[in-house]
This record gives sequence, C-alpha cells and structure tokens, in this order.
Amino acid sequence: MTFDRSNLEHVARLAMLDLSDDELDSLAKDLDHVLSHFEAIQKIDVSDIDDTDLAKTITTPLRADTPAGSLSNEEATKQSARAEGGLFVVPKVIG
Amino acid sequence: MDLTRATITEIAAALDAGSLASTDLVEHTLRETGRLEPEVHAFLHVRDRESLLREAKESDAARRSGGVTSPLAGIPVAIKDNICTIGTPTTAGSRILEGFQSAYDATVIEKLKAAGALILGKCNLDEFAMGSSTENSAYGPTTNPWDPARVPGGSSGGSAAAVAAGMAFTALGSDTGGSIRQPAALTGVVGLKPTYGTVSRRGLIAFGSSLDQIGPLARCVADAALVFDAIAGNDPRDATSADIATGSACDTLHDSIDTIRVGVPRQSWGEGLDAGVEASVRSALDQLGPAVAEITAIDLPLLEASIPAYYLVATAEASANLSRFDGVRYGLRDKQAGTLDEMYKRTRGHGFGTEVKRRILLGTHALSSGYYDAYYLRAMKVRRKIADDFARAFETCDVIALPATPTPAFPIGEQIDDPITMYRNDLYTIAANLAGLPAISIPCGLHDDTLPLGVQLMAPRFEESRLLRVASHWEAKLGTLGRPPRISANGGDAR
Repeated sequence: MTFDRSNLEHVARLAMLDLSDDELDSLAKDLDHVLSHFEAIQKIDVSDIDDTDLAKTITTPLRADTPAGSLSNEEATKQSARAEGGLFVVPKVIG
Repeated sequence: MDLTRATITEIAAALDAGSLASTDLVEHTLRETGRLEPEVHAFLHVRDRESLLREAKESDAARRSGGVTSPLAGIPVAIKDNICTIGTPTTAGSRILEGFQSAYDATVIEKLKAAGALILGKCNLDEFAMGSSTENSAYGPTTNPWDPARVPGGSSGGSAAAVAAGMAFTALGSDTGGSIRQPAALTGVVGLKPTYGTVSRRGLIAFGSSLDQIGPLARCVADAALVFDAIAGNDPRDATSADIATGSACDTLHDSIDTIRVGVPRQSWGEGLDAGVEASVRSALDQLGPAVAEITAIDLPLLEASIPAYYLVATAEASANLSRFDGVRYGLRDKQAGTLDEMYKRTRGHGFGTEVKRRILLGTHALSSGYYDAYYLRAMKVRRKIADDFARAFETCDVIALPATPTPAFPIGEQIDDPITMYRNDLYTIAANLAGLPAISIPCGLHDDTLPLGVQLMAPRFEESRLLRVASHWEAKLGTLGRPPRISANGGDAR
C-alpha cells in the first residue's frame, strides 16, 4: 500500500502533532518510503508464534504496599510553564 | 601521566599513591573541554568550575582519611543528556525540554555519586536518542574527534566524542538500537550495552522502554567493567529491573577464555558491509582465534529483518512515551493556543525536530486501528523469532562476534535526509536490543589508516562477566589504535 498525505493527516491528528504544509508533504513521502522498505517483514513466516507467546517472558514485580516519600507539590509543579496554587494551569477545556 | 589516555585503574592508583589529586582531574577536563569543545561540541552543559573543584577537594580529603573504596571516587564522569541529573539542565537534545531541570537524579547518577564519582556535565545526543549521527540534536551536531567533517555516530555521539577526544575519563550513554556501541565504534572507544533490566532505567528519558538500556563508554574494557559494576543492580523503582545478582564483572576480567566458543554469523558478511570494515573484523577474528577454543560460523537468519522489526517496535513505544511532552507539566508550552488541544498540537509541532516527528508518526501509524496487526504485532513476532534464533545460536557458542557498524564514520550531512540509509547503520547492533542481550563494541583498527572501526561481541542475557572477559582478552590481542584522534594529536585547532 502507499502512504499519502491524507494518511499522514490522520496519523498527525492521533499523535497530536501540528505539521506545516511542507512537513505534511515531506513526511508523507518519507513514511511512504520507509513503510515500503518495511514491507519485507510481511514475508516472514510468523505462524509459529502465538499472540500470547509475546507476554510469556514478562513478569510484574510486586512490592510491599507501604507509604513512601515522593516529590513535594512544589517540586512537581516547579517546571511547568504555568502553575498556580500547586496546580497546573491550562487553557479552558469547557467553554 | 597523560590524562587524555590514562585508564581509570591507572588514575585510581595514582590517586591512592598521592601523586595525583581529583582536583588535577577536574582541571584537566575543564582545560581540555575549553580547548576542544569549540570544534567537537560533545557537551550541552559542563558544570561550573567552582562546584567541581569543591567536590574534588572533598573527594581528595575523603581519600586521605581512608574513606574511599571505589576506583571511581574523584573521577569526573560525563553523562548523556537524556539521563536526569539534579542541578544541571536535562534536555534530551530537544527544544521541547530546553532549560528543563530534573527534580531528581536518575538511579545511575545516585549510584555514581555513591561511588564518589563527580558529574562533569551533560553530553550531546540525537534528540530523544533518535538517530545514528548526533546530527538530530536541536543544539547542533557533535563532530568526530578523528575527522571534524564526519559524524561521531549516535545517538550517544557526545559521550563517545568526549571520551575519544580525552575530555572525559568515561561517560554514560544509552542504547536502544546501538546508540552506545555504534558511536563507540566510530570514535575508537569501548561501548557496553548491558542486558535489558540489568541497569536501572529510572531517570532515563524513555524512548523505547522495552529496548532502552544505560551503559558506559570508556577508554578500555576494564574501565567499562568498573562503571558497569558501579551502575548495575536491581532497582525497585524500575518495574523492569531484573532481580538477578550478576556478580562483579571486574573480578573475572582476566580469567582464561580458552574454553570459549565464538560464533560468527554468516549473515555478517552481507550486502552493505564496507570492504575495509570486513577486512578489519576478519583480521581481528584471526587474532582472537588462538586464545579461544574455537571460532565457528553460526546463523542469524533474521539479522536483516531486525531493522524493520526494530523501527516498528521502537517507534510504537516512542509514540506512547513522547505523549508526555504536552506542554502541561514541564518543558516548552505554546502560549498562543486558545484551547487545550491546540496547545498540545502546537507545543509538540514546535518543540520536536523532524526525526522525532517522523518516528512518532511512524509509531502512531504502526499502532493505529487497521494497521496494528500488520505492523506492530508482526514486528513483535519477528522480534520473538530473533530472540529464539539467538537462543539456538547460544547452544553451540558462548559469545557471538560480528562487526559493530557496516561502515566507518560518514560525512556530516550525507545521510540526514535519507532515513532508510541512516537506519541501516544499526544493522549489526539492534538485534541485541530486540533480544535483550548484553553487547560490547571494542576498537579493532583504522579504516584507510584514518578512521576507527569497532568489532562487536554479544553474550546470553546476564552474562556480562563472560562478555567483558572475552572483550578484555581480545582488546589485549588487538592492541591500541596506534595513535590518538587527530584532535588530540594536533592539540585541537579550535576555531
């Protein structure tokens, strides 16, 4: 399949990325080129690997559920471009 | 003692003997960075002289009172700028994190400090560690100390160049698909990517969370082993940290390797491998031969397929990991946006560079409805098959040897607009990340007597001691590259 500008516009919306007109053109071309090279993996027989095989080596470590220290409110909000009263301030979400 | 080339073991002995002080090391690194940085640009931030000298004096005093046990005590270490450090900026080479100050030290930094090491500064990198040349840094490229017209490799190009040029005694990098080993090879230093889960990722700005691993770039294998021993170990604050005691790699570094079986993948000698690189790697294997039990050909049939598998898995993970950069909690924020969605999009559109956008988009596509099975899931299955191939190979050999890179360092600008050519630089390194294996690159010669080359070793998971032991013996057989990089030899013709 080919990957064109309309595919890219859809993916850019999903990725929350503002792209310029020039970027839409050049990145669509780049991704089309990259994906056509990556078609090679479609030819590899993976029928012997079950979907559930992929999770078999992963284990989740557990720890005791005991309270521990963390960043203070001040430290956690210090790097924000806009924070007030220990909260992150963002543009209005509901009109 | 020539501090641009001395090993940590030699320096530590001189510190213990009192013939050298940590303050001398700080003075040396600051003098060298001042002299060479205008040309190399390995650092994004060097800590101030006053703080470094104060810490060095404290280290010297501790040593005099018998309070020093680690060979890293008093040694300034350079840190890739995607590893969080208190008191310096941490930018990951991105505009979106310009001026960001971490509220905490990464676990590896805590461990280095506990060993008495000094944090020298933060090294340049491809933005968010995405690249193979360090050209993708928002703060300008790093040059190769062997030839300023060429790249140092990437993404840990700043860390590699700092060590190669003699500015740093050792450095930390991170390796998601070869980002420690490839720049180490292209700058003539040693680069170790530990087993996935061996070194804590807490405080490493995530790129591909199932692939990322922090490791040392060093002047020799023994130095890499020293740093590895200092930073390895279980970390309850990293959920993917392995709870396995690997033991000290330094303790067994000089044990015999005469029972070691070395496997060399037939697929190493395929299309795209530069003739000079092939000759150098084959010659290095000839020199290793008499020291080991045998060198045999093995098969890694999916080596070529590791490129698409890696770039689909890594970008999928990156697209999720980089969603945190939204302008809300830290970093750049677009202040013109009227709505929250607009703020996210404009902040990310302005803050990320081209390669990062390319990878976020590729990864988002690979995970999106209708494409997930064909791309991400299939890539994960290929990844499993690659890991199975390694498991089979390690039934007949103890370590695997292969080139580190297909070519020597290439000219700055040559591949930057050609993603596929750039991605192929990782051909020999990414399979170790996909399989979670430890791997190391050591210098093996000079291409046309001008540019350094590396040869690579891989071992089964958690076998760093074996890997470093073979690498140490091999390094001794190969000798040094014969001369220092041009910039050190010339004394740095800083412009």
